[in-house]
Amino acid sequence: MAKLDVEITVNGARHKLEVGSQERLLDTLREQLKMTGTKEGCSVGECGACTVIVDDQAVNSCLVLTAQVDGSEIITVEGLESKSGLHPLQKAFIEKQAIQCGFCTPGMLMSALALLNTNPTPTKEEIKTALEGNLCRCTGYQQIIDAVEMAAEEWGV
Amino acid sequence: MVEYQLLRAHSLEEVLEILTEKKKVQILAGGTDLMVDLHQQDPKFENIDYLLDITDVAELKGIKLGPEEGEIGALTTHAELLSSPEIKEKLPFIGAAASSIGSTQIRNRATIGGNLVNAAACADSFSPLIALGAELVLRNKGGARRVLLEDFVEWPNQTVLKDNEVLEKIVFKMPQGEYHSSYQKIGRRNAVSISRLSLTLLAEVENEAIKNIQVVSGAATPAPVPFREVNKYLTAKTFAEIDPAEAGEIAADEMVGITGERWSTPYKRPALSKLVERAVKDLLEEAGYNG
Amino acid sequence: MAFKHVNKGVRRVDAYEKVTGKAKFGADLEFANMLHAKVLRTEYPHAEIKKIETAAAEGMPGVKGVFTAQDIPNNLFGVIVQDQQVLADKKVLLAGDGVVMAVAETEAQAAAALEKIEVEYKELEGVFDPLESRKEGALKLHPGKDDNQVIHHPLRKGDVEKGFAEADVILEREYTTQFIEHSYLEPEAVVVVPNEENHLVSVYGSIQNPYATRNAVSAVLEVELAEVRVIQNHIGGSFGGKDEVVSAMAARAAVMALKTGRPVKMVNSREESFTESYKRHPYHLTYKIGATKEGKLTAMEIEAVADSGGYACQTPFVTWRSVVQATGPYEVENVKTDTYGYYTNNPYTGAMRGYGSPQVIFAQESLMDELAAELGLEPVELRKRNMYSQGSVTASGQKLERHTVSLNEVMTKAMEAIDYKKKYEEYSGEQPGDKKKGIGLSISFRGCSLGAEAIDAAASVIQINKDGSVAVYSGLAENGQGLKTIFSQIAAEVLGVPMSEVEFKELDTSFTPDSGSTVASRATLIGGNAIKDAAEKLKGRIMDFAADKYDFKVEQLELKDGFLYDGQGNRLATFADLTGEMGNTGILMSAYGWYKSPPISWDEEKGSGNPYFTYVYGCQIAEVEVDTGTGELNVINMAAAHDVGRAINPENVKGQIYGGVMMGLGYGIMEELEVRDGVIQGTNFHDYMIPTIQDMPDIKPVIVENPDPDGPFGAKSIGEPTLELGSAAIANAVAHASGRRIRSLPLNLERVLIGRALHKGGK
Ligand SMILES: Cc1cc2nc3c(=O)[nH]c(=O)nc-3n(C[C@H](O)[C@H](O)[C@H](O)COP(=O)(O)OP(=O)(O)OC[C@H]3O[C@@H](n4cnc5c(N)ncnc54)[C@H](O)[C@@H]3O)c2cc1C
Ligand code: FES
Ligand code: FES
Repeated sequence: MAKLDVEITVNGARHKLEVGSQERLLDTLREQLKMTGTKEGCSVGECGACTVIVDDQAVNSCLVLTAQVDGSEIITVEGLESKSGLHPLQKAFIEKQAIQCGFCTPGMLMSALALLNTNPTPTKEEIKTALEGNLCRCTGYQQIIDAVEMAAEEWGV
Repeated sequence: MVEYQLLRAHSLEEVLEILTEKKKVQILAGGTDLMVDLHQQDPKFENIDYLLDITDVAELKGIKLGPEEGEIGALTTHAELLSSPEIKEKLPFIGAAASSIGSTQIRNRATIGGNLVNAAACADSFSPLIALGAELVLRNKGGARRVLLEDFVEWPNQTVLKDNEVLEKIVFKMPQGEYHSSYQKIGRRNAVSISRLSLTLLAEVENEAIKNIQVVSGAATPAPVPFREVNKYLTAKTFAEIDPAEAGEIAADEMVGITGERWSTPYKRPALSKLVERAVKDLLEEAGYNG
Repeated sequence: MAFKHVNKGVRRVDAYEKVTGKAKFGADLEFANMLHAKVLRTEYPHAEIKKIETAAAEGMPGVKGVFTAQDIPNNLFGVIVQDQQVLADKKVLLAGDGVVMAVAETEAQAAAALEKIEVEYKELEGVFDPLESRKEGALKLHPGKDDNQVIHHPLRKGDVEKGFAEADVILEREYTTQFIEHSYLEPEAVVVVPNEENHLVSVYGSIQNPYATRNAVSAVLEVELAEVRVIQNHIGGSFGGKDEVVSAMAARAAVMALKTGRPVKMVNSREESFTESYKRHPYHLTYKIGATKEGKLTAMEIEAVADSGGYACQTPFVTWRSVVQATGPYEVENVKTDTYGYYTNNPYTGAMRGYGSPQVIFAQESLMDELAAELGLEPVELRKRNMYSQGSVTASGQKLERHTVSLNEVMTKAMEAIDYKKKYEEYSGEQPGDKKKGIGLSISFRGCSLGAEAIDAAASVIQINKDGSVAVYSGLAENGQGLKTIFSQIAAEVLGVPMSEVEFKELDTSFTPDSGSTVASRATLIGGNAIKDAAEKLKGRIMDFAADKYDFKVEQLELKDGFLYDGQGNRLATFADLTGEMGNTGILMSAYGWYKSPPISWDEEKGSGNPYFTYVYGCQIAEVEVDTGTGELNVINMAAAHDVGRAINPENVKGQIYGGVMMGLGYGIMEELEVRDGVIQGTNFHDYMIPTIQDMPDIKPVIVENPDPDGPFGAKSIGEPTLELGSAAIANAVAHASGRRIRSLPLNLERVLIGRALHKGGK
């Protein structure tokens, strides 16, 4: 099968890539770009471990073909930390003990970031809606909500 | 693994061109049904040669609600529907259905067109649109045809869409005068849950009586259909004449009439009856009737 | 006691890696020249293998080898009973048994190879119900076994005949529980590297119990333990689930790594994980209980039958925990309990958080509410009249005296946290409309650690470097629960150094002594004591050296915040300088820590003895809203009070409570792995639903602390108790709200509305 040329921006860096027709965005990130922070938990859109941000929206990268997002801007968990340190969301996840095994964490962070980018002062209900597609089997979610609330507060100032 | 070549169309014309020229093409929109089916190696898609990505086709997007008529582009996502102020104001039951679908990530990609063409028995977009009496605009290179949504699905996952056609948009008449609506859904958990049952009720009312009404259920029958007997029972009745519980019973009977006694009937019968009863009660209450 | 690091919600030591995506999980690992492998699994629950044709697969592009049971040096393994096949040999015993494996340059090539393999089966009749399997004349499933019984644990106390004769009220009830999928977010993954650093094989990946996996791999390869090395670091959840299934995977990858001489990676898809992994045991429970009019229990007769599936796996121990806890935390003079496990051709069942307790607690705490109703007593009152207090004697004859028996305290605190009394009264009255609220509770006692299952000991190593930095190694594994942080806190506390000086290292079986498995909520209690032991040994050396050097008595000196103090608040030296000097003087600055649990006893014939050396107590209360028109059930509030002895890290304990409560909620109201004639119906998360963030009630965690004489700083356990109580509390609340008593899990839409479950294809 012929390969497809695509150009995507991942965490600010532009990549010209050749991708296969069946190649999912998740595969491109993990296998071509060796960015393994994005996780695969179910491959069918149910768990949210593969969540990344495509053009400001949280999406399941297991359900998107890379060629479909040619020209897009993508943010992954690897893009959160900057030279000035950890992102307020990352700090809040640490501070609030919102992490146990950590497998859901990258996806949680991406869903939360997509939310705060468009809605810097979310209600608890809005946080839940933003994270309803991210399963976590360890934490029972409470400390994750606490962390997003804290990040929203810190980030606001 | 299913082997296919991905094609990307950037205009409706291009879509129609490809659908005419190439065989064994499967349209790809948000991919939230199709990518799952491909992952699971659904035999239905074993023989496809091409996947045609239409997500970049601007002509297929957008919501237009006029005073008389409305239309929704096939590529409109559930996220767009639920955040549209127009939908919220004029057709809140469509927004409610959209917000009950999947998760934020799913709603960001999943399209209303994909929901309809995939035609799962539990698909949530059917009942609100059937309640509106919606028609689908199916287009091929030769032109477009209109199909009433309730005639679109032949059986679960099988529609009258032809291989060379694309679903362009959904068109409907706007409800007129004073109207009330409700959308209800029962799932196995509070989010990311497909419907065990869902229900849309849309009624135009006048002088403490029902002028027009549509009660449509999802996941109750193999293909979503309006409950004609319930509609008949309620139409032209004054509020005082209506017994919500009776409406529920009629709906349940009608469902069982269509499906026969199935493994799920002992649950669905009382639950559907209750949903209909509640929807009718809500309607009366919203219409200000407290008799 | 004032603590510096212990008893504080310090941050997780592994958090940075986890929030940046740097943490490498099994599927993220890559090695030079690595191959990928896939397993062909059978769809038949019971069949003879007649012929396997692999030639076509071997010729496929990229394929480096195709292997069957014939290629496995020793095909049988198991932690308790060695009856599990690495690859099915003559017979498949469950749908999902691996039959053939292929290794290739890429995963896709390995998968393509599998499609070319032909296996000819002769289908056999199957047994899919343990109640059938136990019958005389049932089809025998395991060669060399007289019947299908995996295990039977009896317990006899007093005389039940006499006890029932004394009763004014006798209730007999049956309860059933379902198959549960662990649903760890990370599907299993391993990489095996051959001939690395003087090991025949090194095993990396999502391994819950590195020593158990090492045992399995060395047994399968028939090589010495020293030749197998298991390295464990990040694991995406386990909950008891990444033991045997991962051992089998590691053994398969090890065989292929040795055959090809290259690293071999195996990663399960979610569907493969569902198909192949073991589940929580479904139980069929029969309870007979007698009580006087005054509500004093006189006798209990209990039978619990567990479905072991195709293999024994952990059934003998799971059902043993059930036999110890089957009566619940109540004083009963006369008890007759029998727990059984039977082979079937269902998916096999093993360890899952809670082990054998959630099933019996669901039954027995539901029964207590049923009995209370029968006697016209409030649920709390009936419990108070019978529950354990200090000095009570358990069903197995153990006197509870060495630790604080805090049932009353946990119950009272949980009730206060959720405003139980007021709500109980309010919801006991008439409620208008279809939506009814109710509140229900359950209580438990739980033996800590392994108990009489096995030797209960663990090791640690602590090394102080010349710059004063402290490296900690443990023989127990981080499973996500926070062990690295807890152990670092304990080391920092004893050595008087800041947390930033303590580094927790990944587990390497070649380096740390065998510490058994990270199970039974034993990590903090047993492993924490081992860390404390090593740290105290080092501290002793430091104090002796310092006393000598500065001419003080040891008692006068203090290590704090990375300094040595003279007891008057004067700093004498930094920890780094002092320990550096010690190292330069030739003093050994490493220490092994070791902890072996206090003595326990068990008489398997009578079911008597002191099975655990200490217990924890818990109470959970659920407030629900039931839609009696549609069967929808919402758990609105939950309170969870748990005596943890001492919370080494209270934030972490809360995390365990939130997580356990949600897992218990899933068990109670939505989760069910449907198995029809041995075949799992739906192998991904759209069919098997676990709770989302929208299903979360408002959870009030209540930490109760009664330090245990044997725990490190008094700490006991928390991991498992948190999930064992929820289902009964919810079932009791539903009965309170709607009047409908549901005796089978889960409490799904159908059961809540019409009182029974419906299954596709059923009538
Ligand atoms: C986790 C998860 C949760 C979900 N929850 C729900 C839910 O609660 N309720 C619900 O109803 N659904 C649910 N779905 C199903 C799915 O998201 C919806 O059906 C969605 O609307 C499908 O749209 P899509 O754009 O993703 O379709 P795609 O997957 O891209 O396409 C689906 C089908 O429609 C065809 N198609 C798409 N667009 C067109 C067009 N314009 N013309 C012709 N053919 C077309 C495709 O060829 C394909 O056959 C869920 C799915 C997932 C993965
Ligand atoms: S891996 Fe994409 S949602 Fe689970
Ligand atoms: S922390 Fe383990 S799944 Fe969320």
